[in-house]
Amino acid sequence: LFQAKVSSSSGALQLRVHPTVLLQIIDFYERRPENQLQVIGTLLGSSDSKGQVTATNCFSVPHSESEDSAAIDIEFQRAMFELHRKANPGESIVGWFSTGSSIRAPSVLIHDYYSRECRRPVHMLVNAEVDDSRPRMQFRAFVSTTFGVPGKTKGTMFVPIELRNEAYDDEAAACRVMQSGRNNIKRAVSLLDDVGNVRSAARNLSRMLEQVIAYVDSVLTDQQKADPQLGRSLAQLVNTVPKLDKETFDDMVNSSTKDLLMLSYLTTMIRTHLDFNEKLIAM
Amino acid sequence: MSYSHHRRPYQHGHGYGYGHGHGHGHGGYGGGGSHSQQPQPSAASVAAAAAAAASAPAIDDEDASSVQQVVMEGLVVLKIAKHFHEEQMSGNRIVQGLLFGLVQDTRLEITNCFPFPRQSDDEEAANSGFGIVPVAEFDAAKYQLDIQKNFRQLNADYLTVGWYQSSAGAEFLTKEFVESQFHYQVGVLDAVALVYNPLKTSRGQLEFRAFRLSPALVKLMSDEDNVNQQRMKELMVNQANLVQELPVIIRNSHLANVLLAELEDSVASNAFSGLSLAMGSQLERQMKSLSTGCEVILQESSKYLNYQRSYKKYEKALQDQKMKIVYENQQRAQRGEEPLSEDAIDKSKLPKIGNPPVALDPVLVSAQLHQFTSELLETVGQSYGKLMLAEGIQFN
Repeated sequence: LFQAKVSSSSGALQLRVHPTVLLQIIDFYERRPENQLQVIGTLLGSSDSKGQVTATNCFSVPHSESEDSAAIDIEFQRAMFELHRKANPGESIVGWFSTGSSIRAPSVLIHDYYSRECRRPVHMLVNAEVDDSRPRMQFRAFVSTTFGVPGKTKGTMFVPIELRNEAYDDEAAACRVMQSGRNNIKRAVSLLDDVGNVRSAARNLSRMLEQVIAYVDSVLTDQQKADPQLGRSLAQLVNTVPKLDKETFDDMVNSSTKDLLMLSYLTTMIRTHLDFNEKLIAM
Repeated sequence: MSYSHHRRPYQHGHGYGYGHGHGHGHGGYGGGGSHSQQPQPSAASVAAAAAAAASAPAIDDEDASSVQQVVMEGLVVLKIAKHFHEEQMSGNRIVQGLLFGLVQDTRLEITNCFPFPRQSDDEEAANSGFGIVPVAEFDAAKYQLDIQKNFRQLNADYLTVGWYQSSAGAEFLTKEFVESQFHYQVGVLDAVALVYNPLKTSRGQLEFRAFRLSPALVKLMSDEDNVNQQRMKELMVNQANLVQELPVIIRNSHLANVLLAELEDSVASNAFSGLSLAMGSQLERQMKSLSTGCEVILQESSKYLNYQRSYKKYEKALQDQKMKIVYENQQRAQRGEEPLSEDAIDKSKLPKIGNPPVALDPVLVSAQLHQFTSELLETVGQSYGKLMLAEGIQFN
């Protein structure tokens, strides 16, 4: 792979991708027409003057490609972009994506088309082909730059740029919840209720505490060498636990408990009244 | 082996869904509020509710949908979360959109979704930015058709299976919500309303709830002129069986799970934000919604009482008039004259009765209050659990 230093003139320096985009690309890829190996599509998002491009949404565009030619459904691309713009006027075209393991010859043609749709499009390559020998998905981003002798033959070169994953808090929380699905034989993620959520968080917490305790014990018994950095963060952690004497803490817990009990009493009462009211009306 | 499946290419058969439903203002009275969980949102309770409804008179079995569970794809989860997040940044607290998918046996699979357009700025000003109102020139049916046409080209499922709305608690259960869902359910029998709770998501807990109107309520709403107390009693519509909640699970394809595993390190969120002890503001907001709801129901019942009182007056006056005619007729019979018919009653002399109060409103409010109470109880339970946890940590 040809590595080049990207000059500021070539536009984007970094692509930030949201999980919504990646998950959609996977979906498009799974739904591609039977005889087609790859899907391509438009990336929507925003870009700033510092060369940072953020992709927050995408849609796939029907296309066909051969060794050295490519045809994409421009009509569809336009119509779909219109729809997306109605839904969210803040998003504009920032580039395009393709699945596959490497940049193919027709990519230049498609990139050409997107250069007309937006300034300095970013190309994202998603390698979704996963198997035992290559178990990880790969995401890469490129910008194009021209090279060659001035006034003579010119060529287009795809220069890799940095790709980072980014997410809104909501997206990140959703991703975290959904990650539990991969250990489930039915791939099902059930949504926990309030108490279940506390329970699972507490379980995680105790597991992590056990890990820390195991580490501290192994250092104390000289089975493992102490890591000063780890020690410092442990000390910091211990210091964040507020020091309360038993009475203050008990007071706090008691008053909170009283509040909660009163609340649940009131709520249950309202509920009983409601049921009563309805029975009366229905009589 | 390679994980590259082709999933259900085309789903022919169902026509395009009903194009209505966009843009109902958020007419709820609950100011803030939070989230909730039905007492037992299990499949069993839903089935029981369906069975109870089916046994009610005048309800045919064909009216009931076979759907008992909602399966969402992760894609839909993320798209809705993203939609809300972006709209929230521009000041919109309620977002809505269409759901697409397919029905398989007793499962409703939601495989894609698409947001409804943002409301324009003029209307936002006119409505003080509360909720989404229909955009004047916006053609919801055409918009939906366009999406469906495009989805079809991409081999995506394009059957409309309902709609989604964000709601920071139980306050979604309004008249607009019920009416909108009614239209979807008339269009597509299996349509559901998916309610997303962004407030909980911000605390690291994902909540999606799926609702359908009960067959009894659909029956009641189908003949518009006839929504009265009598008919409601006949169909046994009450707050407990107004809507049915369906259990929701999320399912991702193998490839999507690989992707999620890939993102585990780079897309991180605080897994313990749900353990925060500071629940005061939330409880306060829930209490506020609850007390507003109580006020509304008080108003509704006093309206009902007033109506009953004036109706009794009317009845009495009517009876008096009838007695008069009967008396008169007796005299006329003695005199050998034609008897008067009951039409001779001068209606204008009778005391006025107003329009009967809408029978469905108090039931709706009380159903909403029920949601509020269960949500509050759950928050209380959660807070209590957290207190115990804190106590345990502090002294061990």
